[in-house]
Amino acid sequence: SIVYSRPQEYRDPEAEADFDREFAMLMAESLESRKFERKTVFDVPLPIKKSIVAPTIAQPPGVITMSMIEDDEDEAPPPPPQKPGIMTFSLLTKKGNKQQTREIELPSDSTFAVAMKTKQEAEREE
Amino acid sequence: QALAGAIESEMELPPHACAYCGIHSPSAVVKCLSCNKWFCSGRGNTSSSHIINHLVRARHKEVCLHPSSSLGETTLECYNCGTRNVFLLGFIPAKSDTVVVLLCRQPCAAMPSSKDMNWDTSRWEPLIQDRSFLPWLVSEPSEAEQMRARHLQPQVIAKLEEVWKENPTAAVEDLEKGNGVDDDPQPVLLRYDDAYQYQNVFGPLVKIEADYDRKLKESQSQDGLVVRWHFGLNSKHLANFILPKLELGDVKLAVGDEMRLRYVGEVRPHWEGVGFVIKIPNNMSDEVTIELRKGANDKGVPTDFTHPFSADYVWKATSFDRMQLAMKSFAVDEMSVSGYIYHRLLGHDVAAAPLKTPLPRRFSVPGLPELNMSQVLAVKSVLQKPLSLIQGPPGTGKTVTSATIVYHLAKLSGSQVLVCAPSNVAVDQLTEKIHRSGLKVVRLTAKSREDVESQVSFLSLHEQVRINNTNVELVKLRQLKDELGELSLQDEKKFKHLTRAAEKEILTNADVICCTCVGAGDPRLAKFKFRTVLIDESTQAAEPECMIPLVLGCKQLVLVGDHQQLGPVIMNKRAARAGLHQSLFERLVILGCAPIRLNVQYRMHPCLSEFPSNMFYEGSLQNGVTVQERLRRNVDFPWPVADSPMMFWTNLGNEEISASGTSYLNRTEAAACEKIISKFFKAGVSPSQIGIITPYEGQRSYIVSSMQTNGSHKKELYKDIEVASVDAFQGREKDYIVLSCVRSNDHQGIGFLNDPRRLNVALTRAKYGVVILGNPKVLSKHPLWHHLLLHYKERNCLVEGPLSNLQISFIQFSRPRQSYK
Ligand SMILES: [Zn+2]
Ligand SMILES: [Zn+2]
Ligand SMILES: [Zn+2]
Repeated sequence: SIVYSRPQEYRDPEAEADFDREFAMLMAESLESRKFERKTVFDVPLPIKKSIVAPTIAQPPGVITMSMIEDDEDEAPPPPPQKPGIMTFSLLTKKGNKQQTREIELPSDSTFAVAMKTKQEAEREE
Repeated sequence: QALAGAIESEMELPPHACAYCGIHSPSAVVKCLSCNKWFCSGRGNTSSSHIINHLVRARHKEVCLHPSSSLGETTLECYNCGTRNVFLLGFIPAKSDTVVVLLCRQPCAAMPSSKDMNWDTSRWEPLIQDRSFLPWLVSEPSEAEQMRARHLQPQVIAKLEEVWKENPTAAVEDLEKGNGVDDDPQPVLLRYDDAYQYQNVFGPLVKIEADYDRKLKESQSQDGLVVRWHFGLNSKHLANFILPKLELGDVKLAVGDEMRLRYVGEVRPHWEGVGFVIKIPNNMSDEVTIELRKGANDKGVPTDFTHPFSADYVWKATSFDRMQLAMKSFAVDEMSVSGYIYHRLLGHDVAAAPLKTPLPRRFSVPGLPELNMSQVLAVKSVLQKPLSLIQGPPGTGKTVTSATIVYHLAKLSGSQVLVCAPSNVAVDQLTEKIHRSGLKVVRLTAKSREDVESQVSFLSLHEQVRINNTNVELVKLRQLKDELGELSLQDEKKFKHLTRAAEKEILTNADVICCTCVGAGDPRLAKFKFRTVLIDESTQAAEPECMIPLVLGCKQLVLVGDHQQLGPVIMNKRAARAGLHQSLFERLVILGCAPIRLNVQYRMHPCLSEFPSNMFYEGSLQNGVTVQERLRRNVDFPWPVADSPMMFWTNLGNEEISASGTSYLNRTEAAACEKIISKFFKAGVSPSQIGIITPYEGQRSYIVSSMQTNGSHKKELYKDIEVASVDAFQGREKDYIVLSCVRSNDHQGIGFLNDPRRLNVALTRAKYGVVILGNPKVLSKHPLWHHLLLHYKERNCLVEGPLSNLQISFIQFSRPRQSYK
C-alpha cells in the first residue's frame, strides 16, 4: 500500500517557544484567578446505574458493583461488545440539575484503565 | 497546490469545519464558545492541535463538543462549580467504578478526598495533554482527512488570529488577498551610508524593544500577595513575598529593579510604597525581597498586615534612552568618536592608522598571572591598533587578558581607560582583576545598586566618596543625615553639591573607570572624554548598548567576547528578527575584521573540550591542562570510561507541565539528578563544586525540592548546590556539571536547547566531569544533538540503567531533521 506522509516542515523554534510561553501564561493565569475561590469538598453520589438497581444480587449498603462486568448490563440496550484495546467508562455530566452519564471509550493502556483493571483484579482476588 | 485550493473553495464546507484547515468530522471538532468558530484536533504543521492553537492565541477558554460526537452536544465544564475554563479542567475517576467526572483543578480537585468518599481527586488528569484535548474526548482526524485539509503554516495561523481581532468573519482566503502589508521594521544592515542611516535603522528597533519590555514588565503586576515584613539594619523596611509570575521566565527580575507595593485590603486605609529589589529567588528561598525607600509616610507602612498586597513593576526607560542618546550623538556630534572609528563602525573600508603607542618590554603584569603565547599575541596586537576584536572561548583566560590590556593601555597611553561589560557581574570580575594590577580603579554603579554587596564594593564610587574624609563639611553633613534620617532643605542641597564635587575629583584621578555599558551613560560621566575603551563580554550586548561607552570620544576600541557563546537577550521577536540580537562584535567579524582568538583552554578535562572545540572553534582549541591534572582518582564515580569523566545517561521519562502550570519538569531526570549528586557527596565532592544546569524554571525548582526530600545526605548540602539556567552559568565554571535536558516529547521541540551557542555554554562549564541527562530518541532529531550523542556513543559514554549498574546503551537514534539556516 502507499504510505502518504506529510513533509516534515521546518518549525521556527523561536515561534514555538513563544507559543509555549503564551500557553503557559494562560495556564498560570487560569490557576491564579482561582486561588482565592472558596474550597468545597466534591462528594456527589455515584450515578445509579440500572444494573445496580436491578435486584439481581443483594448488595450490602455502600458497596457498588462494577458496572463494567459484562453480565451486569442486562437492562441497558445491548452493549456493544468490548472492543479490544478499549475500556468503556461513563462520563458523569449534568443536564440542568439532572445527572446523566455518557459512555466514553478509553484506550485500555491509558493510566486510568490500567489502574482500574489492577484494582478490579486485586478485589477479585480478595 | 493552487489547484487543490480551487477545488476546495468550490465545495461548501459545513459550518462546523475547522476555521483553520477545514476538517469537519464531528468527532474531531469542537466549537469555541467565545467566538463560535469551530476548530479541529489535528496539528497540521504545528506542535499543538488547531483548537489549542486557537484558544491560546485568541485567549479563549470555553468549548463545546459537536452534537453528533459520541458525547453529544456537551459543554465542557466542572461538574462541581460549573467553571468552563478548559485550561483548568481535568477529570477524576470514582474509586470503585468505571465512572469519571470533569472537575476543575482549582479549587474543586484541589481538596483531598477522604477515605469514605466515592471519588479520588488524587488521580486528577488534565483534559489538555501534549497540546491537544484527550483523544477520547475529541478524536484525532484520520490521516486521510489531514492529507486533504488545508495546510496552514504557523505564521499564517498567527496572522489569521490577528485579523480576526478586527474582523471576526475573515477567512484564510481574505488573508491571502490582503497580504503584502509588511509591518516588520527595517532590518539591520552590514554597512551604513552614514550615522543618520545607522540611527534610522537602530532607533526604531530599540523603540520596539523598549515598548515591549515595558508592556512585559508592567504586566507583571500581581495581586493577592502575602508579605512577610522585616526591618533592615539600615532601618529600612524589607518586604518579602513570592511572585508566582516569575516562574514564567519571561521577565528577568533583577536586583536593583524598582517595584511598587500596595496594601489593597479593607481593614485599614490603602497604602503604597516604592522600593528596590534586593533579592530574587535563589536556592535558599523563592521569595523576592524589596527594600522600601525611606520617605515621608514611613510610619504608615502596614507592617502589621500580611495580606492582601499588590505589587507593580516600575518600568524605567533609562537604558533605552541612553542607547537612543548615544546613537544621536554618534550622528550629530563630530567629537563623539574618531574619524577612523566612525567609518569602521559604519562598515566603510578605511586604512588603519597605527597608533604611536610604544610597546612594553614585558607583557605580563604585576599581580596578574603570566600570559601564554596566544594571550601575549593578543595583547601585543591590540595595543597599537585603533580597533581590535579578541575572541575568548571558554576557559581561555579572557578576563586576565583584558585586565592586562587595560593595564598597558592606561600606562602607555597616559589617558584614562573606560572599561565596560553588559552585566554587573562581568564588570565586577574585571574590576577586581584590574585592581590587582595596581591601577587606580573606580567602579561606577547605578544609584539603585549602591547597597548591593560585591567583591569590589570598596572600589565603588559611592564607597570611595564615603571613606574620603578630606572635606570636613561633607563628613559632618553625612553624619547628620545618618543620625536624623534627613536634612533640612538647604543642608540637603549643600550635601548634594559637595558629594558631586567629591565624585568628580575621584573620577578625575582614576586610571580606569569601570561600569556597565548602560552605566557609561550616567550623567556623572557626561563631561568626561575617554579615548580608550575596552568592552568585555561585548558579544552579549546589543549594538546600540555598545554605542553608549563609545560616544564619549573613543579613538581606540577593544572588543572582547565570543560570538560562539550566548548573545544579547532581546525580548521582542520582531526586533530580534530584524537583527537587534546581533552584536557589534559579530557584525565586525562579518565585515572581515578577524578576531584574535585565545586558543589555550585551562578549564576542561581534554575529553570535555574535544566536542566544543571541533563543533564551535574549528578544532583550534588546545588544552592547557593535562588529563592527569583533571582526573580525580579519589572521587569514586561510575564514569563508563575511567579516564574520561563524561557520560550521557539515557532517561526516557516524560516531561510534564510544572505544578504551577507555567513551565516544564521531568521527574525521572530530577530523580536521576539527585542520585548523581548523592553519589558525588558520598565521594567527597562538596556542593560548591557542583552545578546543575537546566533550561526550565519548573525543573529548577523541582530538582531543588526533590533533592531536599529524597537526598540521602544532609539537606543543607543539597541546598548549597547551584541549580540554574544555562544563561546564569555563562562566564563561570564548576568542577562538575549535571545537565538536565527536561524536554521529552514527540510533538514539540526541545525549546531552548536548540540553540548551538547555548549548548556550547552548557558543555564548557565543567573542569572535572559532565553528566548529561536526556532522552536520546528525542534529542537526536536535532542535528547538533545528533552529533553530540554520536560523540558520546563512539566513546562508550552513552549509558542506561541504574547508576549502580550502568550499561552501554544501544538505543537507536532518530534521523536528524534537516537543519535550515
Ligand atoms: Zn474562539
Ligand atoms: Zn484544523
Ligand atoms: Zn470546579
